Amino acid sequence: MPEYTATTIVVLALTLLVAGRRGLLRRRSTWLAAGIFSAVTIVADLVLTGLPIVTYDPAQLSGLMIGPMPIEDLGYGVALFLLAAIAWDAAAPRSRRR
Amino acid sequence: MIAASGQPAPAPAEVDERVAPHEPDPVRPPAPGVAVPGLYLLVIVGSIAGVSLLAWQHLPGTLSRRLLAPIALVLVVFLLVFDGLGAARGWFASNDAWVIAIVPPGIPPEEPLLLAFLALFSVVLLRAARRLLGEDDA
Repeated sequence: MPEYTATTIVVLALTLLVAGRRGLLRRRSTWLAAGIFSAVTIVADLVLTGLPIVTYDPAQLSGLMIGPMPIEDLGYGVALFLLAAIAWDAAAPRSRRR
Repeated sequence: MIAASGQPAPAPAEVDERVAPHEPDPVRPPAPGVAVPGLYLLVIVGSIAGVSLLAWQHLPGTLSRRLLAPIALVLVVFLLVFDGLGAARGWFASNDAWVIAIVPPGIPPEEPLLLAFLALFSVVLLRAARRLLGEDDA
């Protein structure tokens, strides 16, 4: 499996696992925010890969593309969103944690 | 073609593609038609300013010490795991026609700012969604 694809799957799986254990995936707000974040990620990434500001080695990709954007970038974005959400909740004052 | 001495000029050496095939680097970006180094950085800084202003006006408490946790975690994980490893292993490359510099192993100075912005944007979206749906913010 291409390295970028494999790394994205591993990091996304780990963030989903931690988010699930912390109860984030049971909250509708997480899915709503993740959906908006994903939509913005696709638009921004199409610009980044279309100009291009970033280019990829095709051998490191799964080959699933949204226009010039590799699908791995969407996994990267969702993992980043989940990691930020996990950290934001973990840093909450103790009295406010669920 | 006639040289100044009156003798025919030697023909330019022909490159035998079968002997020395031209194999472009797969991640090297093509020559861009339009390139504005610094514009990408300006867009990122402008996005940080805009989202920060929205957070300051509508989501009090977002621009706080608590925000340092997601920014720091995203920076450490994504700068090291994806960007550092990816640039070093040749998964992707930044187009030096659009970034202000490329720092070894191949990361532009814009990248940490982009990651910090994405962490901020994630928290703002999360808090906005929680407020919209009437959920607690922790």
